[in-house]
Amino acid sequence: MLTVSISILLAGAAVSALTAQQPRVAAVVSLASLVIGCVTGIAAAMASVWMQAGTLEFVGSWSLPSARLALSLDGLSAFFLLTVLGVCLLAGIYGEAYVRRSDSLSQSKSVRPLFLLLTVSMAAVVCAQNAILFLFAWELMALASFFLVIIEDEHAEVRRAGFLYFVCTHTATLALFILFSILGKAAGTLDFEGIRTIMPPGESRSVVLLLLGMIGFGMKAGIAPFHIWLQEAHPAAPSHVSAVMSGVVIKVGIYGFLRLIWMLRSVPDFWAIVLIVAGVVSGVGGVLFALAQHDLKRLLAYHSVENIGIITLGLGLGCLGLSHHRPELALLGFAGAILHTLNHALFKSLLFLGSGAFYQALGTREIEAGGGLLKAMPWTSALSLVGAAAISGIPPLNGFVSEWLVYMASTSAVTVGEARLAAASIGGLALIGGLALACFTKAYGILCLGVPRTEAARSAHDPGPVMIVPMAALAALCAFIGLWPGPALCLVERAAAVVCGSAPEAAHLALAGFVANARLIGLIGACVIVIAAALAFLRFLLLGDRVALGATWGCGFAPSARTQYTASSYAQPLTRAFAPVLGVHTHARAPVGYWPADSTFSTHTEDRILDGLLIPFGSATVSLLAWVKRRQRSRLQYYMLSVALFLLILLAWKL
Amino acid sequence: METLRLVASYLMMVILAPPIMLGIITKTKAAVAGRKGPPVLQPLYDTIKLLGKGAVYSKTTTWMFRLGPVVSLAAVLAAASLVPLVGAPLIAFNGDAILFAYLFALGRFVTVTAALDTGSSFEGMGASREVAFSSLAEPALILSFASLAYRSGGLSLAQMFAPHGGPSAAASAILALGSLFVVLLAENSRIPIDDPNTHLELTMIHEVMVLDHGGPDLAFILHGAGLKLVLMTSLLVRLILPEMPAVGAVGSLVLGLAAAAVVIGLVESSMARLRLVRVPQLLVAAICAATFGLILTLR
Repeated sequence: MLTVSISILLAGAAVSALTAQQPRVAAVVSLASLVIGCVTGIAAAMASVWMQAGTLEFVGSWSLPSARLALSLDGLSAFFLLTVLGVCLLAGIYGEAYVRRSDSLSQSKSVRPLFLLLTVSMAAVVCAQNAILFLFAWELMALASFFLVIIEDEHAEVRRAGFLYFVCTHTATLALFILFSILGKAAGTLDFEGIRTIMPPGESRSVVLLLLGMIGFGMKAGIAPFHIWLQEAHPAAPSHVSAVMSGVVIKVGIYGFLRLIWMLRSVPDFWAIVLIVAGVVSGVGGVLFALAQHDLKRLLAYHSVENIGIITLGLGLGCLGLSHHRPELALLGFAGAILHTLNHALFKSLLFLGSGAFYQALGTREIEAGGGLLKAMPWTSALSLVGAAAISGIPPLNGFVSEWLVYMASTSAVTVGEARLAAASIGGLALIGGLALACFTKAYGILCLGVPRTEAARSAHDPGPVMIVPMAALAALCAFIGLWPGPALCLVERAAAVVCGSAPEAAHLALAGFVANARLIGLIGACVIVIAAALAFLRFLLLGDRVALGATWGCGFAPSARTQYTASSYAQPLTRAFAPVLGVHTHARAPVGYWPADSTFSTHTEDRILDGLLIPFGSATVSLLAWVKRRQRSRLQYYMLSVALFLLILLAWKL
Repeated sequence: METLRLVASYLMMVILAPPIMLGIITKTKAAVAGRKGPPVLQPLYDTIKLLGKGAVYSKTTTWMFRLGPVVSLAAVLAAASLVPLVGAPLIAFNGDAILFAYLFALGRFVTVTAALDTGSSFEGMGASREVAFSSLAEPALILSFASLAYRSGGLSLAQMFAPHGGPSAAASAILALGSLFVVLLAENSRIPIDDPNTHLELTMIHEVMVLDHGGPDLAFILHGAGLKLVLMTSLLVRLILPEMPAVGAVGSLVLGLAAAAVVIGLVESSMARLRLVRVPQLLVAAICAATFGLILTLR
């Protein structure tokens, strides 16, 4: 069934590429193959979960040495396949309408086949059972997403973002090549199952393995400090592609990490330390930088770094459990990470789809161009509210359930005697939660609430139902997991059991208490909704018809769009408190004299790693080399001297 | 029958304790200033009066504005079910302390979005300050919860704040207590973080966010704020105060709440509000105290 799904998607990509001259045919073909392929794939994943056994779907020979066309669905693969195909299906349906509404995209011939290719390559990555197949699909995924990022390549910043993404993703692939050759050499096979069973449990190379894993998978996932491409590439891509990239492409990196842990079976202690520290740094750093952004998609991209931080924290806690031989902690940590992967895929793709609708309505991604959109675009705004609340991690939505699991894993980490790690992860999570709330009330409040700031915001209107329904489905899933976490946790349990190498029944038993408590949380969340509805009804009874409309109280002044609070000023107390970390650039022209002319104030925040470290380092290297190059034009004697010096150094080193 | 009595006494606490506690704080402040002050039950009369009034909504606002008061009160009511107000909580499970903290976050989310919905710069200002300070108060709250959880062996409020034989001498408990007291003042907009009685919109935090609410909405907000104060105070009271057999669990909690109200009144009478730029420093100090407390517990 999985092969059927993959073949349908591949065939759809090929046919829609061939028929690209007739957009109508291509659209029908791509949409049909996307829906049929994704639904078949989802059915295959569900069936494998039902049967509880890892089913080897398809084994074919391949002319490449030690490569096999082996796809299989165990609990972990099935979980990620569900996530990938579910999000791709909804984003693809939305994307069809989005592409038609956009002038530049509707001219493009490649967007539909590339989207299908991205979907099928991700499905192949998470099901591959052979390193060569994995790398092949991984590379296909990287290239498809690269071409999707640069689809609007008439803009210079899109080309820049595309190049950055290209470099980063190939650095990651390079690291993976080395990683799999080390593993393959140690095990003598490149099949994952073979590596897992034959690989000697020697931990000598683990530093190298962790480093390669961090570069290879971490760069794809966007773990700080390897996140540098996210905030550039996500805004550049069309919104439904950003939704898929932020929702699931980066999650494939997390899958890779989990699969690596599964292959190694046991991990040393320092893996846990590195992952937890990286998680806290990504989480807090991501949300702080998000807080300082005014470009909606850039803000959302930094939030992906934050959520990847929470997921990495869960991974680290799981590794802590593995290295200390505490299966309960390991299961809990991995379960938190895996559930947050699903949750983030849901609410982040919802928010990116919403941002696409806002972008098409406003013509800009600046949140300060919006205002009052809850009135102008009621559906998009209301659905985005669900996403904003879910990503802030507040009950009764899904973000809280997974964050709660990671909290519980952190408090369990106390019992293995890792006090500092536990304190860091608990404090980090709490800080992330508070700051995420600040960030999303900012983005949502400035964009959707209050008075419209521009003419575009005043005349904006909702997109058609083809774009609204996928968002509604994602919002409904967010609410469902928040209120009734049982089914999702059942899938998560299976996946976590695979990673830990324990039997599903044992995992179920170990996590039973937490699952029951999560159900209770969902129940309390439902109670909040019921009480709120009762209170609203009470208010309705009390008020009757004694409701008057008036102007907002402005202390004697009539508030206008120009006196509304802006995003910069909303974030100011926090950006000021964290100024040493953020390095916000302020551009201000203060009013001077008795009759001041117009004054301006704006802030922008650059990425510390990319703009603050890598680009200066790169340009310093270039100028150094340019200096060397200028020297080169001199006489032959200098060349002779440098050759002699080099030989001398070699001699000295050898001695 | 037993459950019914538990629920009934719970409802009594949830409805009556907030206005009375606020009344005692006002009375204490009046007494220190040498005034007579309004009657202790004045906040209750205010709430009843507000419930009978009509409402004026701004033309700028949407359903978001009307969602704020009901959801924030509902969230605080749900949080109340986790707190042992009458000796035992309605619901208790391992990890409910995190839910408790995040239910307040839910209340904050809807209050802040309702404030931004008005499009007023004053309310935007209040919202901005609220989220800034509470995002620093949250780590302090949860870290102190974590250190208390480690001592009691479970992350459940009923366990963590079980009555002790006397004030615990452990340094970690004192640190957690200090940190929680700062969080209590910050979360409930009391002096020195916020002044609930000021009449200048530019300097307020919580009160300025609800400028546009009136009638039953304002009654819900005021009752929710009072209930939040009662919940957090009763946790602290249970931590410090030994249970007095003569008056029972409820009686000792009520006495403790009254004493805490007097203490808060004295704090408010004896000091001024901090400058806004100083507030983060106080909160970071609370985070540090909580972290030290956690590390000391784990040693």
